[in-house]
Amino acid sequence: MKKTMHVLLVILLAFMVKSQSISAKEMTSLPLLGVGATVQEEQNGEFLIKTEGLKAGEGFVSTPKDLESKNILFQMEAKGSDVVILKIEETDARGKFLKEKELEVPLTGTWSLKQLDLILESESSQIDVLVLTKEKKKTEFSVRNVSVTGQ
Amino acid sequence: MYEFSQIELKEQDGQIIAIVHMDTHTNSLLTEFSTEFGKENDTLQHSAKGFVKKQFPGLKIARVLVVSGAMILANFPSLRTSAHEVTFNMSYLYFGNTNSYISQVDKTQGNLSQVSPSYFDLNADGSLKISSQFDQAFVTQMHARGIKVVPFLSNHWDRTLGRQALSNREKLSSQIADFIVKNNLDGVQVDIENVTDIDREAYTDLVRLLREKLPANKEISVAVAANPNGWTKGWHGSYDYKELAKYASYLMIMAYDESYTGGPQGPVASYSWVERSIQYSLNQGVASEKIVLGVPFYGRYWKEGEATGGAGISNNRVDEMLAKYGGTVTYDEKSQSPKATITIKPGDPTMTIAGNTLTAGTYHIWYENHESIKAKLQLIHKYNLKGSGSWSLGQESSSIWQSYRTWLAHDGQVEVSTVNETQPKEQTGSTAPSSAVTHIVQSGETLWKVATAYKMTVDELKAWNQLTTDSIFIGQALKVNGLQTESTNQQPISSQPAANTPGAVSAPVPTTPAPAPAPAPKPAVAPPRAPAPVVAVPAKKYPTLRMGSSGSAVTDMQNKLKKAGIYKGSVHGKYDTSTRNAVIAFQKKYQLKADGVAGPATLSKLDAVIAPTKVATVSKPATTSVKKYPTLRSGSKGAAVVDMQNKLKKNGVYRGNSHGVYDAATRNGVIAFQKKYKLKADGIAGPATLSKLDAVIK
Repeated sequence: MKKTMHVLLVILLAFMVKSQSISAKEMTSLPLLGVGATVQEEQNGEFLIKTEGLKAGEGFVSTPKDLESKNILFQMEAKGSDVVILKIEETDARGKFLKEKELEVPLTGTWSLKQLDLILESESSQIDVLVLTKEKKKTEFSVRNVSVTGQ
Repeated sequence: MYEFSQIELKEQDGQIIAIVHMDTHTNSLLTEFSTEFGKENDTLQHSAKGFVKKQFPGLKIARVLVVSGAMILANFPSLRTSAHEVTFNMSYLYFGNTNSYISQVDKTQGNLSQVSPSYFDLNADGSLKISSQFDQAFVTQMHARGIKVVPFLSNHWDRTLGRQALSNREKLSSQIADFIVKNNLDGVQVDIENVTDIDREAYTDLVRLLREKLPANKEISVAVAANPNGWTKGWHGSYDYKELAKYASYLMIMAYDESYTGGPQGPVASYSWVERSIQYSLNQGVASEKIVLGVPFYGRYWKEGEATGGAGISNNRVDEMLAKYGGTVTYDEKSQSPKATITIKPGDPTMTIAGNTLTAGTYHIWYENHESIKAKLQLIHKYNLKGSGSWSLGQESSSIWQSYRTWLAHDGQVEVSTVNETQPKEQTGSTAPSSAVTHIVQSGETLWKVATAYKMTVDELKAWNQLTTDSIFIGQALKVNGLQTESTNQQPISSQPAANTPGAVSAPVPTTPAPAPAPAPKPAVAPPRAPAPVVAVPAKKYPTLRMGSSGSAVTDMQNKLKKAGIYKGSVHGKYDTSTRNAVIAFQKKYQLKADGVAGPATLSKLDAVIAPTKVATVSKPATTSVKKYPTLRSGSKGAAVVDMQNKLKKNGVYRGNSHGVYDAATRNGVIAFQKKYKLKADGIAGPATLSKLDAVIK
């Protein structure tokens, strides 16, 4: 019995490690690129985004690949002091704009999970996920565990 | 002075109509229209024409309509139509290596002025990565041929890589500028694709940085997505045409991939789709002379019964397939595109296209042939564009190069009337009046200019020549009223032509006095009323000789080049490399376009150079010696530019250095000079401007 428990524990640990590595892979495979902003990688997989404040719509963009699903979920944890806009933009394989979805979310000083989903027109589409400021303002916000997954 | 709110461009019967909208609230409409627009219609016309000219400099506008709401206030022809010649042709080099590239370039028979090889790639962090294709020897070879080398910077459709490049633009632009200068390249074409509207400002800023860091004599251009539907989001939204054009020498419209891999079957670049892409560019405020039209040298194929298709195929491979398997080619008039239908039967020999072996079945291939390419090139004339680009060299049917220059040189109308016709026109049923002489249209001339020169009205000139539009083309033979001219035997180029005269042409012309016109052949039947037509321009017809030409014309040219002390080789009648080099040396010496192709300008100059000094026994009055002026414009460089800059300085309109580069400051100086002397203020120093400059500083 003890031996069986030991085997189960090893399997469980292995599964947890694998889950973590998948999550880590999602994060590292999603480079966050500044849009009128700098993106600074901090410790513990956190990213600090500092906007220039030259216009509204500054933040970061990322382009996940190989989602192999029409139902996608964009999620992350974020903290800050202003309202930001989560956005998913779909273009076809030739770059033609198809559709987009936005969600306004207020940020606070504590980490909170933010999510936005979208049903794509086609599995072969290209996807951009963005987090942008709502107003023209020089500001900072942090994100971690940014992921886009096919459901 | 009237104020206008906007302009729309519309096409009607192949002509461009400018619809100028007038804001009635900002213009005086207290007076009844009949009074305001009746008596002062000239002023309205003048204002409207000026507005159109300002918005679309250089564009051929056939007619202008002034409207207010739904009311047409004025409707008049624009007489700004002029002959348009294209000398800029670039092509991309993507598939191959240095040796194959050189071979591909040489097959173009001197048609290319620029090539863009795939030398500039990107590292993952957005820094510059020089591709393995880069070869200094190729650059040297191209320069020896008078061809510029402007590599393109590509992210190969990788959106993240493109964004990394834009994020890293400060460093990237420095790296590119350094590499160009160190390796004697001629500039860079930015071809970052598949980023989106979110990157629009960064994209423009990269181009601005490149312009800032590259020397003035190096080109920065941008390959932009064709945008016939005016989309503002997605990939198409990443290009701010108007802002990009501020920093770029030109925008190359990638007017292809209308149909694409995975998409429905159809042409790669239908005529209307291409035309709307041009119109979009113009409507964005891009000057026509800053637009290069990209044409595809490839097609796409769809196999019957398969869910998806649209893979690319080179035009020359389509020709191969047709030769190998047979098939039918239909020409779709609406899209001006050919479509080949080819069936490969089981057991037929196989064929591999871009790594894919074609299996038995029926293939529908939309591609490009002579007819469709010619149709697209005519749009370059129609909209007075800078020139053509092509993706990509080596994919074309090489036979197109025999015609390419002609399509671009003469508004695509290859059937130019010869000057020495074997029969007078009258004998063949021409309705030309008996006093008619022939005038050959020169670059920069308009119907108005020609008509004025011969003391005719435009309507008379059109009627005499049965012209239904205002379009004329270089080399076109027009019947004009010879009785009204001072001398029909005289070269119609004066040494100091006044502005807007027939002498004020903007293209090089032979400097020799016109040879006596060839006597008109004696008609078998006496013409009913009139003497045979007399030509008013040089009657000698010169061939165009180039690499590969042979025969007595080449022998003759080699003899003359020898006499001129330029050519040291043997006279064998073959246009080989040493002959070409001699031609280039001659062209450089006499400030002709040094392309190594001996056309009429070169051969007539050669005749002039080796001609014996004229003896004083000529019975007719001596003509004023004719000074030949080049046409200088932004990007020109050399001694002629230095000379002009010195003269502009003397005139007080230019305060920069005489460095020999026709940069923005020089252009501004030229415009100031042109305005000062009421010349056409287009910033291009052609014979009218240069001769005036000579006149005023003496």
